[in-house]
Amino acid sequence: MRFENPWLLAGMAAAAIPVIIHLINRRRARLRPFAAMEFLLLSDKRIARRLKLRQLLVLALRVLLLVAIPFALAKPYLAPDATSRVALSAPGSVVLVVDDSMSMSARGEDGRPLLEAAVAEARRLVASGGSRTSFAVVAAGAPARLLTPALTYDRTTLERALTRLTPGPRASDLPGALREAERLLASSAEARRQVVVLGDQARHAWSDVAEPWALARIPAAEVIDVRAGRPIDNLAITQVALRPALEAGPGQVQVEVSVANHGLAAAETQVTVDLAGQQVVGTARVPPAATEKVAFTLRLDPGSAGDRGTARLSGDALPDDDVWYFAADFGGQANVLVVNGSPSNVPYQDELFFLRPALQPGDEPARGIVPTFVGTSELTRRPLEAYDVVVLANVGSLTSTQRALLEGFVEAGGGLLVTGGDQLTPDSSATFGALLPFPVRDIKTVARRDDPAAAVQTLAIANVDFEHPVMAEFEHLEDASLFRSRIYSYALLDTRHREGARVLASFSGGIPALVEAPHGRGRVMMLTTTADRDWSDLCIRTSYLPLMQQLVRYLGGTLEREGRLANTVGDVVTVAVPEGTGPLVLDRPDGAEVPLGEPEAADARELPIPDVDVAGHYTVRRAGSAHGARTIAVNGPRTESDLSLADLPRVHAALERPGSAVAPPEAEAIAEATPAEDPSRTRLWPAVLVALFGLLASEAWLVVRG
Amino acid sequence: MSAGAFHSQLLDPRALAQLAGLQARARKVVDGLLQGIHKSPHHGSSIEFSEHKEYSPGDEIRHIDWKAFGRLDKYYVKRFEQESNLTAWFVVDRSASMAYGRAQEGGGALTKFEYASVLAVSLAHLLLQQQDAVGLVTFGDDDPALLPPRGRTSHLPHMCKVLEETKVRGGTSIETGLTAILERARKRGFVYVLSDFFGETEAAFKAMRQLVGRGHQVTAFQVLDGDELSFPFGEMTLFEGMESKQRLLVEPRLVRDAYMKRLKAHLQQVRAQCLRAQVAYALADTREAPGRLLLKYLTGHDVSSPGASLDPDGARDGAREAR
Repeated sequence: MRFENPWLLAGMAAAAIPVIIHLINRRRARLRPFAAMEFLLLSDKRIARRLKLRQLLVLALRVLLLVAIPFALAKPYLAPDATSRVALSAPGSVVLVVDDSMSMSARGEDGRPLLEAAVAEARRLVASGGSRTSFAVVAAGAPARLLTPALTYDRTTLERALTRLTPGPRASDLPGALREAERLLASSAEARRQVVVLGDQARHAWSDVAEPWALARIPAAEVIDVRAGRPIDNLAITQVALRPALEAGPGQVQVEVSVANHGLAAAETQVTVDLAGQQVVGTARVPPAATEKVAFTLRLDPGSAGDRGTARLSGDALPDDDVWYFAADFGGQANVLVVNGSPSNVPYQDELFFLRPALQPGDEPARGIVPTFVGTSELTRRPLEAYDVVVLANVGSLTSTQRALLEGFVEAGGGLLVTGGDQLTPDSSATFGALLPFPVRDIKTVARRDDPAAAVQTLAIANVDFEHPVMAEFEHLEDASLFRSRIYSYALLDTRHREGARVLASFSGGIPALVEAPHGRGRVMMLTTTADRDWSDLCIRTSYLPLMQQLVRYLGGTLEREGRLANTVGDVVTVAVPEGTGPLVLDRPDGAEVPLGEPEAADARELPIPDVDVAGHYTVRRAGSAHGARTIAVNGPRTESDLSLADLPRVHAALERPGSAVAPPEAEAIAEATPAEDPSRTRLWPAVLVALFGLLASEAWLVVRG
Repeated sequence: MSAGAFHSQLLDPRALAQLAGLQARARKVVDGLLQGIHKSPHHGSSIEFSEHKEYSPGDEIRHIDWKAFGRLDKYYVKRFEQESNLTAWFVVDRSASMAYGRAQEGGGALTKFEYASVLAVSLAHLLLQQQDAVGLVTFGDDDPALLPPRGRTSHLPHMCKVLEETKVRGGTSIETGLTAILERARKRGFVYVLSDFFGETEAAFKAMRQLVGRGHQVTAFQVLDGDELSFPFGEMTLFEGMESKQRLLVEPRLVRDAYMKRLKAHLQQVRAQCLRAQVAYALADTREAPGRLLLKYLTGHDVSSPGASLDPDGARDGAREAR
């Protein structure tokens, strides 16, 4: 039995009202001594029993009445179940959409993977379909694939297609599968055209589909939940982050494993990390619907970059997400050393008051950024080789030692960002040398913040080089707050010619705001105004956070490799071209060696990895040499880890409105869409209405008679 | 305040309930009552002169007032208040069911026992005034308490004290009270039975028939509360028997008709039994003024007849008006 307005069933709770009133009345009944009790007791017990029976009957009728009203309003109807619909002997075309995404490898109640149950159900449907029903099989794991040539009556072809269904680390692509089904059925001339979706019906699979317009031209669809609504608790590793653990000693790295609990109860699991021949074990206790992090510290020798790492959980229902592969080359992660040139005990006067949360929002490092905040005196004490980027925030001068260290750091490929401030003077150029993209000629102040005329006197960022990776973020955002920021003071640069230097952004009048210059293998950049509110209000604009993060990522070289942070099966994955010469070879996780040949462009820095269809470590190396090999890790999609059941009544409702929303997907249109009449449906609510009136009449008669 | 209104107020059970002491209540009832009666209905030989009557043949010559003949030259016969020398027994039910009444909840009216006591003492007051002896028996389901009959007016306080100190409890056994009178009453007299007649009544009427057979004039006052006659309850109520301690949780509106039907049958049965036993019967509704009830009784109205209050519907209307 199904309902057109199932939410109205909540009104059935009102059925408790007569019972509650009855119980309250019983409790509040007044005790009254009475002399003529013998007449009240009605020595005739029959009358007493009849009276009690009538009272109960009236109560039952009232309860039934209050149940029947929302029941009738919810418009119940009977619809034949999926099997009986498909098993009709009449000619027809049926597309079996079988979910073979990663979540289907979860174990069902009988210990079998859910996919096996789905395939068994598909076989049963094919067998019961009769010889006049044509079938097609579409796999719903990304990308959606048609496993039969087309709709076919050939049972052997269908069996072959069903046999090819195997679980894999794929995401779900139900929209694609339904589109494929729609295409197939459009070519069918049969009157009966159906889609049957077999799978675990997890919420993530339907999240993009459960809207009527997504199924605009599917004539009839049915959903079969192969786990029969049973909840499946699941733990999954959702991320592994590596960072240098400098405080623990040289060569130490911290491996932080994030474990998510998608179950309804708190769970405890063992976490094992293997890296560079070391194994550490810990325990994670994760509350329901939460993520906990477990951190381990391991030693990683300098020469072991690229080592393969694996984090594992003790097994549960879905083993594919209990393992996370990672590579220890810190690819895609920028370790940033932020040097505070004007610290203050008053928080809002501190130079890093705005920059700190920009790089570490919510006390969690921004994705791909691991910042460390120090004072200027710390600069020489830190091993700069552990960092990818150094930010000098309002640092006015450098000692010769500091300068030498920083020059060595940048020349070795590091990134340096200098921001302006009151410590910076024209004399600073002498101590910075080539570490500034351009020398500082003067410090200019165009307005004072408390001046009423400041609004017309301040400068704003007027020109931006959107071709630059940092500024590309702001392209097409002409009203971005970046362009509305007010600049009160700035460092005027002497933009004499410097090889490779470029201006990324400038104030009105062409005054440089953000400049970049190469230095050795690294880059230096300068923001000519402050990172705090002293010289501008850029730091309180919404553009500030993405601007600073993009700058740091760019200088750290992770901007273009950001995708590597969470390489997922099915993604387009690229890897840096290994040093050396000779043909390239790809070592796949399944042990296969795939020759890649030479990169098409001689100066190509990265090349794509073909067929990333298995989770594990992929290594690209020069043939016959392991030197300079680049390893990346690919994992199964974690969207599949949450096995909570979709809102099936809503899915049913969406599926039962075929063609109702060919019109644009506007919410109003959906709300007003009337369900198409399904002739196989048996309406129950008129009968319920009749029963309702019968109940009303009976109740009234009993009350009047009583 | 007019005299009529004054007496009307005094006769009202609610006003009576304001008075402390049974004797005070009875005196007020009797005061009001005598205004309605004016003189004793009994005339006969007595030492106390009452009035003159013109002689007619058949009158005793010894009663001719010769002094009046000397003055008026006409024969007048002296008439005297009768000294009846009768004995009246009051048999009052003190079972637990007689404790029912509004007074129980502080409503201001009388319980059935208090009402019966006012009736008994008021009648005793009248009887003692005409030199009759009055005795009292209170009964429950144990041994009856007995106050021997005396003809002195000083006997009335004793009777009041006994009634006031009576503890109303236990079951009903009218026959034990009547048997006590059968054993003691050698002279013919009056027997007033005041009870709600709940419970078994067969043995009681057998005893009453025996009393009637010995020449006693028996009157049964069936004392019932207005609630019992009209069953006016509305909300869900847990009723508890006063003698049986049985309980019943019920919505009164659902059982009212059945209750009234059975009550009416019971009243008719009691009245029929009274008629068969040649016992005068009066239904005493505690909402009615005791003086008015006695007046009707003494003037011969509303006794041994169904009357308006015998009808449950009529009683219900009365209850509504009273509220």
